[in-house]
Amino acid sequence: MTDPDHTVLVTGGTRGIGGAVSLHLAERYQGTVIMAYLQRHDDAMAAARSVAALGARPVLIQANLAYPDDVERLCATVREHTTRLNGIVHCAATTNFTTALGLQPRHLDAIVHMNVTSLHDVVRRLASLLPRGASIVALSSMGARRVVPQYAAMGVAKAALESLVRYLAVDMGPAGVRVNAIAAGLVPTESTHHMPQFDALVNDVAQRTPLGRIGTVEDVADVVGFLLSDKAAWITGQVITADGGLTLT
Amino acid sequence: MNTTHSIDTVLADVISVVAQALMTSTEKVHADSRLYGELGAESIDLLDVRFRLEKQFALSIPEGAIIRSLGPGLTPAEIDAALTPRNIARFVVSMLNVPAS
Repeated sequence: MTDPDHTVLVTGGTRGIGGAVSLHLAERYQGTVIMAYLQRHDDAMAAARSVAALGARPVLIQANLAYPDDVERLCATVREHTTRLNGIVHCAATTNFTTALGLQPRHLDAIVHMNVTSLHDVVRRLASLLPRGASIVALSSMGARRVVPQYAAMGVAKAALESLVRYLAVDMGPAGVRVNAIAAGLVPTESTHHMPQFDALVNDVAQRTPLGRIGTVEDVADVVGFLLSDKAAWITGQVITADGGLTLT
Repeated sequence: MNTTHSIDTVLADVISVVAQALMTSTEKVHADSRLYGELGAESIDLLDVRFRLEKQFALSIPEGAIIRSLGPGLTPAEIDAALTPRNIARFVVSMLNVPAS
């Protein structure tokens, strides 16, 4: 059912899973999709055109969530565009690929900040825009709970993110706002292509996945859409694993 | 009034940016310090350098532009040798001195 007043902020909303989420929301609600992005302005403009072609209203905001000033500016700009947010989807992420012992402390700090602290800051600043029934979804990873090679920084950050989701869910429950995360398995995006030995990894994961394939950005976007919807009204503080059954094997 | 920027006028700021990104002191960052080999930078640090340069100099720096400015078809070893604050300052100057259209 379309809802022209439906408005969602998607961080990392112009590429990868976030880009797919933006398109999913555009098609479903034909409301407003506020897409925060870090770089590649031309790609962001193309994403905005795709959202508009689906009948939704795109709003592009460039912001580096690693910088508190940018988070403040992002949230102030969101407030200029709307007095109400039906949801926040946190897809923005950054990482490097190294072992736990090879990880430099400043990189761990930066990656935790981008993945976790930025979400906390955004939610803290925009909480008053979230009415009863609103939903926050954060993108986590199987690396939060299982050791994925060369994934130490992101794994640690996503584990912290999942814990933040639980604490926010308890804090925001009385206000009728749900907070959940999705732990997606390996999903090919431009970012994940930088993972070491990516092609071999894809083949290995596909063979070990009970559903016989690797996931797509649309697979994850569909789960985000469910968690944002009223159909997930009794789910909060949870990490939904969407990996084709990979972590069962 | 138009100001033509020179490497000398921006180098100190570039060194400061690099030091901030690498969370080290400016005393440890010299004009010809190799970011990757000597200063321990990784690609994630170069991303931070780029964004800090954008803020410092009010520039919009395309992704990969700093590395491309070092020269075409460089090997990783050549990039390591060339990625220095001095060459980054050269790149910044080239962007600052582009006439406004």
